Amino acid sequence: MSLSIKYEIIEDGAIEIKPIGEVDIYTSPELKNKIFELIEEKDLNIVINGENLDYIDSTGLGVLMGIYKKMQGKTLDLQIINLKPNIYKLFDITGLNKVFNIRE
Amino acid sequence: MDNIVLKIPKKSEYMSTIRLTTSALSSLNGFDIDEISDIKVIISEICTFFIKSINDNTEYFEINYQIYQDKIVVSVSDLNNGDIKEKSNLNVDMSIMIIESLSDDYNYDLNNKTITFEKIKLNGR
Repeated sequence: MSLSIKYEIIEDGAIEIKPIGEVDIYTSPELKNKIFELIEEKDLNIVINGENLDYIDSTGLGVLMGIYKKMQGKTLDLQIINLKPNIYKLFDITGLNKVFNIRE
Repeated sequence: MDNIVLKIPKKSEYMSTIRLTTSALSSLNGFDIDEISDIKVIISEICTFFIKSINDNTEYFEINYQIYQDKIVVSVSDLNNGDIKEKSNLNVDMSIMIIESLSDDYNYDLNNKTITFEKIKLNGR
């Protein structure tokens, strides 16, 4: 399974991004490039919706950290929602659940 | 004990194939869905660790699955030349954290570029 990325502007003026499939060392550059492009283009807060995210590895987590830092530099918010339990487990192990604003 | 060996190019595009093969073998051996998810994550992190730590990728990964009634033991060897980069970075640190947290046992034989982990079946304990 590969990765596809959907996004839309939601009610409160943020971009909701839905990664669909797997984010690993092969697919994470695609996610990084797309989100960085959206940050530059739209300059809006970002919500990453993980409801269709089946897998993420340390490379993908590293990409999310990069996005977080870039958003901080622009004083924009990043929120992560609807993570599946197997994915949240990796945020917990690496301590990133304390870094990101994660909601159900 | 059944022994299965997978030799596969050290290329990031084969990571999903490695995960799928590993999931299939774990499922066949009766691991539950959470354990299969852990095993899949561990093997992926080991391969990612080697891809990030040793530049040479002309040779293969050799993945050895030892399947026991109550556990699976998996060794991943990077058959390439070259030494493991000593410089630590966030992604490599996270890989190691994940491998160590999800495995029941693990061993780094970095001189031989081999990492082995073991996962015990919960319902087999």
